[in-house]
Amino acid sequence: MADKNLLLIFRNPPFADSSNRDTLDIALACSAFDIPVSLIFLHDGILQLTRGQQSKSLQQKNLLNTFNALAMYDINQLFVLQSDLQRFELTTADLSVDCQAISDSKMAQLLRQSDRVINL
Amino acid sequence: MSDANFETLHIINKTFSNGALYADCCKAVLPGDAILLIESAVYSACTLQAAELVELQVPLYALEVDIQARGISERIHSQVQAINDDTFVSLTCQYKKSISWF
Repeated sequence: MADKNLLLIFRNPPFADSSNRDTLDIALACSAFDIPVSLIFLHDGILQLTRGQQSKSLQQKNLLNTFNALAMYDINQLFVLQSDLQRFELTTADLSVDCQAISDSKMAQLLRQSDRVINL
Repeated sequence: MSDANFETLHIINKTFSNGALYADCCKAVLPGDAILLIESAVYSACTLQAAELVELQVPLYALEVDIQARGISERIHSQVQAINDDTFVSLTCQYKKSISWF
């Protein structure tokens, strides 16, 4: 399995359901087993990464802290779509984590090149 | 219940990406109604996304606690009023009924 690379898709906004947390758990678990992991944030998923989130009032854990720690798990390949940045009037500077902004067609290639893709 | 002078409070909790949900809700809104954005729907109170809702010309509310949690206080459209939980409760009393668009 370790010779297969894995792409995880985040499509949901923060605090909506457990899918972002579950996908993040998969990323950390797979990385612990030396499986190369990439993350891509599509549509509302990009909202998970915006700066200034304060989850205390919702009594929920802020996943941003974990996203910021991904580099320690050798997870450095994070992608967002330029079209999604435009949709929400954001730039990569508005995101709390370093991401590569790619085109829609590059995203299609990324999915094609990935051995396994998980989309919760 | 005698305090209910207004018609329907439409409560939305999904982002603008749920196009069909917003389309259905917008079709159902009449004068005398209001729209309240909670949870993920507070992203729809941001300037760009709120434009379509502003056109409905009904009061627009968004829940302050959800706005703050998502760090978007500075991006809220000027026509959207941020409200606290107590006002949320008051609104549900002031309107004859609430419809949840979840």
